[in-house]
Amino acid sequence: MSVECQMLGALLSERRRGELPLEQAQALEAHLAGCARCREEALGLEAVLAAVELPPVGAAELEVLRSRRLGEAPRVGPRRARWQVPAVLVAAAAAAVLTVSVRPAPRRHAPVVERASAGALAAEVLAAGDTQELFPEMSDASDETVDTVEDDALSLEGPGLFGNLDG
Amino acid sequence: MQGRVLPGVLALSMTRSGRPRQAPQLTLVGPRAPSDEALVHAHLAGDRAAFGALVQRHQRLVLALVRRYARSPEESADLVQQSFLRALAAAARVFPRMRLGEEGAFRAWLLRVAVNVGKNHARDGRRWRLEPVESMDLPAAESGITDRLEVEQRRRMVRAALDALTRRQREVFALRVDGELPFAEVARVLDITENNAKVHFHHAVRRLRERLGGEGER
Repeated sequence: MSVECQMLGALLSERRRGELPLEQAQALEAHLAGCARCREEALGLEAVLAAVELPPVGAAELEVLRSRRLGEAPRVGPRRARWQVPAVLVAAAAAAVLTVSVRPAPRRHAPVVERASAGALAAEVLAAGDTQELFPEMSDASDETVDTVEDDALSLEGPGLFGNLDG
Repeated sequence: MQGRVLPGVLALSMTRSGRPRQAPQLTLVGPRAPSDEALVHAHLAGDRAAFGALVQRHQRLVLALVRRYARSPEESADLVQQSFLRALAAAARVFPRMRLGEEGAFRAWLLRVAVNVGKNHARDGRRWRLEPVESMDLPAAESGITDRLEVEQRRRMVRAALDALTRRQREVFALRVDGELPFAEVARVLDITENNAKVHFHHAVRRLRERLGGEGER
């Protein structure tokens, strides 16, 4: 199977938009002339490419967007401290507070609980939650249920966005 | 951030005594516009105009990526806003550790967020109910009631078919078809090779053809 066979849909998309350089366009034509399978498949793929295109962004859409004045959104508060209590420790602290409130602990445990102020604890809980919920949509395991062996074979990606931060 | 001058591009406004103001403002000092990353850093340092510049720069592309999943221009605008806010919320945590030279990182992040915001919006079945024909933002040529219903029906089928793609296929498809990005840029956004992006796209279109059947060939 040639490169053209494996990328036919992409090559047709580029040709449709006039992005294919002359040399590659000629190579595609030559391939289609010699490959009956791709020649047949190309008709269906081109029809799909035409069917899935949306009409250009309309003036009404842009007007609504501009009227929102999105650029005036949000004010950034003081930057948080860079260290954060891990979620496990926060959960443990919350559990300790609950235990103390439900069943009074021996007097010797009280000072330990009293050291953690409610405000500080709440702030850390929020911070930990914030950390875990940044991109729930990107870590949705259910989304991967449609992945196939074909996709595994194609997974040649690197470490991903910002994967080199620690490098 | 305060007191730093970003090399060759922008500077933070200073008081006469040479000390930076409380909320530094980006000012252009050269012919080149500041990078997205410089704007994000400025935004995080309290420059509200920097956020506006980011929105101005990218809102049209973000709109193109989310509008397939919206029922109205208002809903599209909601999704655009949600995309920016999510991307910047994450940037507030990650960008302080980034170097200013890492250009393109914010845009790539923003676009990936937008693709996922649109898809997640559509995943909620309640938003896919049949809406009043009058509320649809369809071209004038499709103004006949029957035509408009057919168009909406086709859109619905395409959205359902897109939902059956893998995440990577959907990302490549959205950036290429809705965002109209060249494959080289699609590859940069997704941090994959251009050939890989093309192969994913090919499989996405083939799978759409299988799902849409004769609908795609009318």
